Amino acid sequence: MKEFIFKQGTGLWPQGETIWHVYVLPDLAQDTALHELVCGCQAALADWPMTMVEPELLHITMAQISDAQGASTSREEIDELIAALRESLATVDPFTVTVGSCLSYESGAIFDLHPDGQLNQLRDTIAATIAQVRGPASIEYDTGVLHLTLAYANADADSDAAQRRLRRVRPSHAPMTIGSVWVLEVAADPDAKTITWTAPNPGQQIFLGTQAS
Amino acid sequence: MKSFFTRNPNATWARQGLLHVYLLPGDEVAALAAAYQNRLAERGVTDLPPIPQRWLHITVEKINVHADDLPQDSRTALINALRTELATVPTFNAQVGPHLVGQHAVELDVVPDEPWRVLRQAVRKAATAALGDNAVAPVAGPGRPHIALAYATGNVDLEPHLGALNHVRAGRAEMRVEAAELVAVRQEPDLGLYSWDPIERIPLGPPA
Repeated sequence: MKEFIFKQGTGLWPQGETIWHVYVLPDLAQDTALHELVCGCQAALADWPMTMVEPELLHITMAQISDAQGASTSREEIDELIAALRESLATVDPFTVTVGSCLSYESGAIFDLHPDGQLNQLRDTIAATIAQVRGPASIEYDTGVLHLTLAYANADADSDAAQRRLRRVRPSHAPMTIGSVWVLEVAADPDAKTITWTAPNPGQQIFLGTQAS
Repeated sequence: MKSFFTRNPNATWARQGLLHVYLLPGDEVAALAAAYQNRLAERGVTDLPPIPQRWLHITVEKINVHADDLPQDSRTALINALRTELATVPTFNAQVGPHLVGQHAVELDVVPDEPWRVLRQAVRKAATAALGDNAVAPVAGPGRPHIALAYATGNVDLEPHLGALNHVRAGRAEMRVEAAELVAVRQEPDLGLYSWDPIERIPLGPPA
């Protein structure tokens, strides 16, 4: 397990800068089994050299607005992006994925998400919308296989041993409702290994399938 | 990862033919296992030989008796006890995947646990009823059902390959469990697998 490095697009995330992202945030008050699973896995790795993601900061990264930093992005630009996403996601129905197993990974611990199909479709729709509004340079960040990060490694550690601990957490899977995405201005602390954002206003939440309702 | 077969002083078997009760997966699970095995091969990982489809299994319980030591009447008693107990265990479905990289093997996760645990308890009850209290080892924990797709046969550093394994998006496999298999197992460290001779197929009861 190696230290996690935060990125903007294909380069390093500039120290002290914020970057806008599109995240899925779990609703742990609704998905209580997921909350229990998160707490169980974090307890299993409590003494590991990892920074746990606080439950209220859990997220699935669907996209990064990679062509600019927060300081150089106007509110009007973000509002334009939100409006475009609201339109494109109105035809995407809410869905549920299974969270788990929890995998000890190269740079931390992540939850596998299953199935991939609707999640990837949502990611692709978001990326296409961002590119349409801001151009191709705005979607240079590679989300990789979509996942829910449980913890970021902050030093070298034995991933095999971490996996052994995670295996003891049962039940190992929980459902997660995907009903909306958030457009958030995100800060990364490379030393503390944290991803944070200031409390967003409700207008930054985009519900899926609003056209149907 | 370190060798599965030397992970502790008792890991290498002195004798072959140890009785086990296994669940044997079908083609869907084999295809899932092969997707991960192929990725490991593509990455040039050594000392982690793929377990062929015919030797993939879920261990339910190890019975501390070698097949050669079991008189015919004891064998019959064991099979009858297994038939009686497993008839009370409903058939079930398990979901297999994703991969998990452990300290000695790459495995497929199997969920949910509970039906497997019920089955395991039934097997343990049957084995001790037929062969005595020492027929099974004391339970160290609840156990975790899994399917090994490759055992380490030496020191293996999978750290550089974890991302590649995660990019195998082969989904999950459904496994219908309708019977367990009493088998006499051989440990084959050079091949990195366990093989077996079948003894008896034991049906589970009707679905719950």
